[in-house]
Amino acid sequence: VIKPIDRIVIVGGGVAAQRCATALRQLDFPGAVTILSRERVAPYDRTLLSKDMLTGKREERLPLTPQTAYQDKGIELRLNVAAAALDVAAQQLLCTDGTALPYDRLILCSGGEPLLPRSLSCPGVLVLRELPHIARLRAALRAIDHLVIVGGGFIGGEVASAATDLGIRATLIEAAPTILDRVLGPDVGSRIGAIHSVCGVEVLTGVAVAAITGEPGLQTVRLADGREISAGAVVVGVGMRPNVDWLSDTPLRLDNGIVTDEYCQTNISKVLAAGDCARWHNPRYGQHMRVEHWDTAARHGAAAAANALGHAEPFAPVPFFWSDQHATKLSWAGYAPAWDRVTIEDCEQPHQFVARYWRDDQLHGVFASGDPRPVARARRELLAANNL
Amino acid sequence: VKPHVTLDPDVCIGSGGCVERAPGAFRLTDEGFSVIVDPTVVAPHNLLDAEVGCPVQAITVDLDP
Repeated sequence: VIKPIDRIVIVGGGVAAQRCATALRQLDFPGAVTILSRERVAPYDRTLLSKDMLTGKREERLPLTPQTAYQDKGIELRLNVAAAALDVAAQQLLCTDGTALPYDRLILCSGGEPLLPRSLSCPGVLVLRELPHIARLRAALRAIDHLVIVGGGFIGGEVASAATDLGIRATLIEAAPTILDRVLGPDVGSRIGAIHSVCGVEVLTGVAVAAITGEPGLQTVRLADGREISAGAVVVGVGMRPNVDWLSDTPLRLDNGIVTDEYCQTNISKVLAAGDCARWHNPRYGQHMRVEHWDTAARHGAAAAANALGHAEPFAPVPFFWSDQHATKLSWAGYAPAWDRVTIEDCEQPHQFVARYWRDDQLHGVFASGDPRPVARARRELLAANNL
Repeated sequence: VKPHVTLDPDVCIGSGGCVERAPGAFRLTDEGFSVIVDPTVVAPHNLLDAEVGCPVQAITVDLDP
């Protein structure tokens, strides 16, 4: 006798969790659906935190779906409660409010948290991922005239862009030879660095940060070459780590995230994972990957819903992301951890170009600064090319 | 006044954000791209949320055309 699925519990408050819940209803799942989120508010768009919400162009968070949608679809939102422990034998989740949540299927979309290496950890140092972070960062931006950003990734670039929009001097520090070097390579990285420089950001590359000292309001960043930079506030954007520590004493396989197969299935029966916390096998590329992109997380949540209900849908997306910096749209489609050739095509507008990443004469990724059409087109081509 | 909504199919990447924020106004095709169905079935602010939340700015909304 196969026991019917009556209760599905989703852990997490981001887009993967929200899409997962919606997809369960779209697939006509009639049972109970509960979203357990440690955040105080219903799932919102985190991508705007480092964009319009940082500049103040937008004050309110952007909900991922109208609040009424949860009631209409019979989705229980349990907010301000985190998952504390998982009992796989009893098939229940223990929550920080002392309650136990039994499940027939558990879908882990617990996301991640900003990395803060010990050398960069100092009272007052800021990070950015969730609503409470942006409140602190915006309060700091109102009070200072110079901001240092440690880490030349996309979040760091967006924060630098927002700071200069607000008339605040911004210094962006990256240990690699160019910003975005690891993701996009030195040629494209230096072009994006040039956009920052033209817009007034002081870009320091090829130098690591040794330590941050001071207190909120006045902090000093000491570089590995001995230079010291003082600023009103420091934001650290050097990556994120999957939020899986609370699972370390379970039999769940963890290895830079919750490891799953292409069906979002973990090594534990009835437990699935999706989004930033999951390292899943992408059959399109024949390898496990953990991707920290909003679009991928959204699709991942929906795929986990289908697989929880037994639809056996392999999750094989072509990763896509975007960023907005200094009024320039940056976008990417593909998966290219390594390449042997990058071709760059300049567009008519200054700082606008399309870069294509090749390996063995096969296209693996496309990046655009400016019009995202070439990326949208390439994404369709990469999706159609199943031979990857 | 009926809101005027446009969606550029050449830019859409089918992230589905608009379908979640303005259900019934947009839907995803079987190919995984968004199309406009009926902008009048949702509140105007839901349409504006769909416009703001589109990662590739494929959507424009004019509430007072």
